[in-house]
Amino acid sequence: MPAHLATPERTSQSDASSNPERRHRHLGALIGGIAAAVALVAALVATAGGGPMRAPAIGPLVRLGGGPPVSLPVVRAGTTPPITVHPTAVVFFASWCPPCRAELPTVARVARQEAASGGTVAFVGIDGNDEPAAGLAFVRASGVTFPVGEDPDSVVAPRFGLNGYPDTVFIGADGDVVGTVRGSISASTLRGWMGRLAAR
Amino acid sequence: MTSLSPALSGIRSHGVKARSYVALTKPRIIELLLVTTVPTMFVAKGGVPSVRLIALTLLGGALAAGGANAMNMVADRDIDRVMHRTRHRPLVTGEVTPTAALVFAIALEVWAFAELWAWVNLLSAVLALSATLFYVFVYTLWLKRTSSQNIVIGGAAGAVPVLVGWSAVTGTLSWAPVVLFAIIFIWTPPHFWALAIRYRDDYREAGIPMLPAVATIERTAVEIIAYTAALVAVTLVLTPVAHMGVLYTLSAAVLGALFLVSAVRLYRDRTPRAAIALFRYSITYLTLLFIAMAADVLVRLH
Repeated sequence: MPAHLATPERTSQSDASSNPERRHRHLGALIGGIAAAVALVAALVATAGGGPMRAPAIGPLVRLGGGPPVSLPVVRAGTTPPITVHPTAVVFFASWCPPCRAELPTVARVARQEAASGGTVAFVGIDGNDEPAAGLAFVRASGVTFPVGEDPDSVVAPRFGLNGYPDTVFIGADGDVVGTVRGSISASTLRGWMGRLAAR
Repeated sequence: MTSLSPALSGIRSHGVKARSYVALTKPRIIELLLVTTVPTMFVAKGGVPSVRLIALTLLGGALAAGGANAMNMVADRDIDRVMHRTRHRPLVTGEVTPTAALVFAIALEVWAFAELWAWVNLLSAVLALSATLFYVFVYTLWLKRTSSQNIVIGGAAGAVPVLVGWSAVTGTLSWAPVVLFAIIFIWTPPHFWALAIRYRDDYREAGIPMLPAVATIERTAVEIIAYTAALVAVTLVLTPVAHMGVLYTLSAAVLGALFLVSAVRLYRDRTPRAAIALFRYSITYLTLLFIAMAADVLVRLH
C-alpha cells in the first residue's frame, strides 16, 4: 500500500498487526496461494492432450420423416471388413434451440452443394431432445436433404462428449473423430473442415 | 403446556439451525455468482448448453462459494462482531460454533470438488477450489486486514466462476474467458467501495483498511470513476475476442455509460445515499450485461 494513503486508522491497524497471529496468517496465505497455483497447473496438465477419439457406433435410429434408419459411422457401400467409412459431418440440433434455427439452413445449403458436386463428405443430422414432429417441420423448413435421426432422449450427443446444441462433429474415413465445432458453425468453417476430411 | 411442546420447540430450533447454516453461505453473494456463470456458459457454447450441465455446474459453483463464504465468516467473526452490518451473523450471535461452521464449510468444499470432478470436469473442480483457497487465504486472512487494495485483489475470487462456467462447457480456457474474468475483476472494486462508503465508520471501528475507511470519499470516488472507465473498455474488448454481436455491444455501451454517470454523481454528491444508489446500480449493471451476453448468443445480430 502506498505510503501517502497512511492515515491514523491505518496506524492503529499496524499496531494490531504486531500480533503474533499475523505471521501465521501470512504463512497460511502463502501456503494457500502456492497450493492453489500448484493445483491449477496440475489440472491444466491433466486435461491437456489426449489422442483422437474413435467415433462411437450409433444406431440404428428412427429416421425423421421415414425411410431407412440412420446409423453412425456411415459405412461405405460394398466394403467388407476392414470397414471403411465415409468422411462424415454429423450435425446435432434441436428445433427449440435458436442458434440451431439460425444455423441449419446454412448447413443444409452446404450439404446440398456437396452432394450436387459429387463430394465425398456425407452428412447426418441428429435431432436431439426434440419432439419428432417439431424436428421434422424444422428440418423441412431448413431445406435439409441429408438423413436425420431421431434422438428424443438425447443419448447420442453425450456419447460424443457433447453437452448442448448445436454441435458439429467430423468423422474421418478411418472412423476417428477428427474435430468438433461447438456452437453455431459458419459456412466457411464448415467448408474448411470438409476440405480437411476429404484430404485425409 | 402439553407434552407436545418440547417436541415442537425441537422442530423450531432445527429450523433456526438450518437457517443459520444457510446464512453462513451468504446466499445473496452466491446469487451473483450464478448470474455470471449461466450466460458465460451460453457464450462458451456459442449455443444452448444442456440443462443437465448448467444445473451440475451451478450446484458445484454454489457449494464451493457457500463453503468459501462460511470459511470467511469463521475467520472474520472478530470483525463481524464489531461491525453493525454483520453483527447478526450466526457465528457472532453464537447460533453456530466456529468448529461446526468450519466442518460445514469443508464438507461443502469436498462435496463441490467431487461433484464437479465427477459430473463436469477436473478443470472446473480445480478452478472452483482455487477460488475458495484464494478467497480464504489471500483475501480474508491476509489482504483484507492489511491493504486498502484488499478488495481489488480479492475480487479475483469472485471472478473465477466465469472460468468455471467456461471450462465446464469447453473443457479448456482461452482469451474470451480471461476477458470475462477481467470484467468481474474490474467491476468488483467500484461495486464494493460504493457499499464500503456507506459503512466506512464500521470498517474504521473494526480496523479494516477498506479504501473509503482510510481515504476520503472524494479520493474513493475518483478511483471508482477510473475503474468504471476501465470496466467499460474491457466489456467492449469482449466483442472482438468472443465474437459478440450488436445486441451485446450496444448493451455494454449503454449500461457502461449509465455506470459512469452514477459514479460521477457520487463524486459530486459524496453522500452515503449516492453511494448506495451506485452500489445498487452496479448489481443491476452486471446482471443486465450478462443477460445481454446470453441473449446475443441466442439472437445473433451481426
